[in-house]
Amino acid sequence: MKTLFKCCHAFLLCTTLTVFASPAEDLGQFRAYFKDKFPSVPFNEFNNGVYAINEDARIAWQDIEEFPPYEEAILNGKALFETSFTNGRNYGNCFENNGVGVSQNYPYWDRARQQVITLALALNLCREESGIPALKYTEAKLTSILAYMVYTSREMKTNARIPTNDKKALESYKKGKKFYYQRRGQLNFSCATCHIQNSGRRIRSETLSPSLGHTTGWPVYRAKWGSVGTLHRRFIGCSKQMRAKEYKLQSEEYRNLEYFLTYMSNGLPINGPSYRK
Amino acid sequence: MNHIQQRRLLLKGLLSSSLLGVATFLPKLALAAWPKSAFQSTTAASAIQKLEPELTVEKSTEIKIKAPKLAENGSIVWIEISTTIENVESISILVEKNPTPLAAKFILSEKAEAYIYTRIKMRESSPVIALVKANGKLYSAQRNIKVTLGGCGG
Amino acid sequence: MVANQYNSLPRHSASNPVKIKIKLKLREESTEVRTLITHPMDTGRLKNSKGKLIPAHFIQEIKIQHNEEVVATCVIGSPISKNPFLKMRFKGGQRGDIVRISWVDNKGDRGSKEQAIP
Repeated sequence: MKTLFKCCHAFLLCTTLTVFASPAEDLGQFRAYFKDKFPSVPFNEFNNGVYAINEDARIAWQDIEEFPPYEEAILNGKALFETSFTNGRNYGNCFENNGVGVSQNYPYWDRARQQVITLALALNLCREESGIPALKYTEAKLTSILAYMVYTSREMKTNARIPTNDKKALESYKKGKKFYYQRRGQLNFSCATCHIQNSGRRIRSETLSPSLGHTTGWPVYRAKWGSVGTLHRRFIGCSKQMRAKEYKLQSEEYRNLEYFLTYMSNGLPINGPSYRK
Repeated sequence: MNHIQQRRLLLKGLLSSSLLGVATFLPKLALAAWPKSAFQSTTAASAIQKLEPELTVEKSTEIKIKAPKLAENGSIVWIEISTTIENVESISILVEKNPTPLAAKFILSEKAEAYIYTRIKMRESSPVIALVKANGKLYSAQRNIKVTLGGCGG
Repeated sequence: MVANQYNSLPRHSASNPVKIKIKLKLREESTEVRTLITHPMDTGRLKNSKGKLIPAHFIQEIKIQHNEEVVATCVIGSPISKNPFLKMRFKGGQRGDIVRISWVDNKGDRGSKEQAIP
C-alpha cells in the first residue's frame, strides 16, 4: 500500500505540468514527497544530499571535513573579492551588504534585464560595469569568489523569490520546471527520474541524491574533479552521462533550471562550499 | 559538541586566522632509507618478504581493521588499524590487488599508541592486509574492502 | 587530476605550495594528532589529457615529533591518497608541548610545520 502511495505521489509530482500549480504549491508537494520518502531525515539535513541518507558515505564525508578541501578556494576567493578593480571600485559595490551574506537570495529575477541572474552572472555584470572583461565561467578565480561569497551565507536560509509583479519571472520559473521534468537524451531520463522517483536508490553503484537540497552546497569540491566547481558544471556532467544535450555554463536554460531548483530548496540552510565525492 | 557546532567553530576561525603555518628551517632529519624494492613489489607476499626477509607472518585476531563497507571512491578509501598486541614496532598496510600493494609502513615509537588512520588508493575491490611487527615477530589480519567504480556520479 | 579547461591554477608549484595542516587534541592519557599535507601523490601511472605520463611524485616519509622526540615515522608510497591524511596518537602530552610534522618526497623536496598542543 505504501509503495502504491509512493508511486502515486511520484506520478503526481511528475505530472504537475499538466495541472496548474503555483510555485508555492509545487514547493509544498516537493517537500511533502521527500518527507514521506525519507521520514528519518530532518528537513534541515536534506542540504547534505547523499550524506543525509547513506550512513557509510556520511562517515567518510565527515572525516574529509576534518580538513575541508575547499578551504583554499574560500581564502583565495576572499582575496580576489577584496581586490579593487582598476577604476577603484570592487565587487562589494555591486551587492547588498558589500556582498557578505547575500548568496542565499540568488538566483533572482531581474526586472530591468528581464532575466534570471545567478551569483556567477552577477559577478561578471559587476566587472563589465567597471569596464573590465568578464571572467570565463570555467575559471577557478570565479569559482573561488563564489566559494567565498557562499561561505559568508552559511546557515542562512535559501530564499529564491518569484516576484508577482512581472509574469516573465513566473515564466522563467516554469521553463526551469519544465526542463527538470522533461525526458531527454538517449536514455530518455528526466532529472525527476533519478532525483525524485529513484532518489535514495542506487544507479550502478551511486546513491541518487534527492533534489530537495540540491542547490545549497554549491560550489562543490568534487573529489572526481579534484577542484571546486559550479552547479552548471555539474548539469553539463550529468547531461554527458545521460547522453543528453549539454547547454553552456550560465545559459538561459541552466539559469532557469537553477531558479526552479533553488526555489524548491527554499528554507534550507546554505552550506556551501561543500564536499562531494 | 555536535558536528554542526564543531563545524561552525572551525569555520569561524577559518577566515580570521592564516592557514599558512609557520614553516621552520630544521636541521636535516635523516631520512630512514625508503624500502624501494618493497614498495615496488607487485605482490603483497613479496612486499612483505622484502620488508622483513627474516620473519614469517602469523595470522592474528588481535588486529582490528575498520574501513567503509562500500568505498564510494577508490582513490580515497579510509582505513583504521589498531591492535592490542604489545610492543608494536610498526604497522604496515598492503592492498593485495593494487599494482604495487605496499601503501605504507608506520614505524611507531614506544610512546605511540598502536593505532593508525589514513586514506589509501584502491584500484578495485580487494583484501587489505594490516601487518604488525611486534616483539620481533610479524602478525597479520586482513579485511575485504569493496570499491565501486562509480556509475552516474562517477 | 587530469588537466582540463576548468583548472587554471597550476597543480603543484611555487604558486601552489605544499601546505601542512595540523590538529592536536588532548585525550585522557594521550594526544591525538591529525594532519593533512597537500601533495599530489602521483603514482607515475596516469596520463594527462595529452596522453603523456605524469611522472611519479609522492611523499616518501612523514615524521611526527613531540617535543623533539620522534613518535612516528611514516614511510609511505604512492598508494596513499592524494593530500595524505594521517591520524595517530601518542601517550602523554600537555598543553603547550610542540608537535612537529615533517615530510620529504621522492624529488627531495621537504617541509615541516610546528604547532603547540592547545
